[in-house]
Amino acid sequence: MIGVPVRLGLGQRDIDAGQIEVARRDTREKNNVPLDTVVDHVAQLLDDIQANLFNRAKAFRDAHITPADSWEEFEQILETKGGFISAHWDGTTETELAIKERTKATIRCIPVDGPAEAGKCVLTGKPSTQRVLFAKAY
Amino acid sequence: MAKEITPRSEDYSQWYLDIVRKARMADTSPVRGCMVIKPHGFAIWEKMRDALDAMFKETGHVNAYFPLFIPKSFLSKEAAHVEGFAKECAVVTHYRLKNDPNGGGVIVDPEAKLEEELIVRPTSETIIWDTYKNWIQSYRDLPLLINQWANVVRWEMRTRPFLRTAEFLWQEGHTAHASSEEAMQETRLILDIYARFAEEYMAMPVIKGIKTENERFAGADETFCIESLMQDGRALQAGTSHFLGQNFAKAFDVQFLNKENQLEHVWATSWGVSTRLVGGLIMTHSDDEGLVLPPKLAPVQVVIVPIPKPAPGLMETAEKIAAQLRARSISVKLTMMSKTARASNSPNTK
Repeated sequence: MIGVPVRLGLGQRDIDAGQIEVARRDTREKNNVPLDTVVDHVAQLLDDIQANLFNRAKAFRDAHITPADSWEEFEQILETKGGFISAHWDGTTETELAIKERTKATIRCIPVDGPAEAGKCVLTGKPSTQRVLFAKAY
Repeated sequence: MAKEITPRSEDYSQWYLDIVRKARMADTSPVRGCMVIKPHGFAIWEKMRDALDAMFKETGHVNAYFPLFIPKSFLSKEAAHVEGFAKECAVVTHYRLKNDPNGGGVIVDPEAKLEEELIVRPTSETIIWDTYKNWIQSYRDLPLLINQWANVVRWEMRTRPFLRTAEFLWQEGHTAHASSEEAMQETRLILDIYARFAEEYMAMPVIKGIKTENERFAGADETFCIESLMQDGRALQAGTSHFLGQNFAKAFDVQFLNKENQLEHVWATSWGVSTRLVGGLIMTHSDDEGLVLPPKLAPVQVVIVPIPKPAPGLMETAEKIAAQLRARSISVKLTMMSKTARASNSPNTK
């Protein structure tokens, strides 16, 4: 409930059997681990949980960066899937605000690692040199 | 327990509020838009603060503290800055209360009106650059790499615990440099620190980017940001690093004698992350059962519990494991005492 990553459950029967129950919060998996290796096991498990949470969040994030090349696509993705929409923009505040007015999506950023790519603005069709990321935001 | 948490699929906003409440992270405040950060929420913020503070210090930054109140006239010295913040400023107009002569309790003493109103800082560029004017004369005084941990107030109308509150805790870095290139390097350095912190500690993937002119910080020439994605498909701006050019140096007349013995305006950056990160952390990892924390920011990393009840030898084994884990800098909580043992040890029964 308060987000503790690892819970060790210890009972008399476990002690007799020389083991301990190890439960991880992220996947809710439980395993019995020998008592004499539990400290190493837990130290490793904490690293695994840290990595798993990042990988899980990254997989979700990456699956929610969707390119849109037309206004229809843009609106559809925003309504059905959400997440970041990678689209061309003509570089004007006017277009940015028009898109916000219509969809509540704002330009979150121009990615610093984004490749240069010639294209046409998703709303106005004017030329653009790089995709930007749109999304509804907190 | 879990049933009291609204499923994400049903109402994501309510799910978030339920998690905050069930994990005892924050409480509502009598002042709308403010929040009480409870010990568990604060412990997570402390872990974030410690990690970031170490990263700032490793890169040559030092901490200082500037006043909460800013003279009203300061805010308007940088035109874009005041336009961006004017609509959400809390203003102090008086400095004393008195008893209502008509018996209506305590009233503001009209005699105690301030000559110049004070703004409760929404951010500290103005007061800091007014101070830097006295600290910077020559290129030998540069760079200044200062950070402060503080609270700020922005009068927000629609608030949500951690994610958007009228008062929030943050760090704000304010640096001064002898060249545009150096200030830009600093801006990018901090952006990288923020991204590394988000990914390595929060386990929250971020995209580094540049804000459009429209979304840029009021008073900046360029705003860099890290953007993350929450489970409901909405984005969260998690941190910003601003290249301020010479805008604040010009507004507050901060010049330095450069190596060529010429007077030049100082180049600046500012950057911040706030308790909003705690909201991002909750939203990124938690599930319908409750809060999920990455080990690096969990105040308690391992809890040891008896199944089904304590027995002879159990305590000793548990304490031995706890000690071994602690020796590896793992934080452990033991919940090994039976109810009767706990009761007899509680201060109330002594």
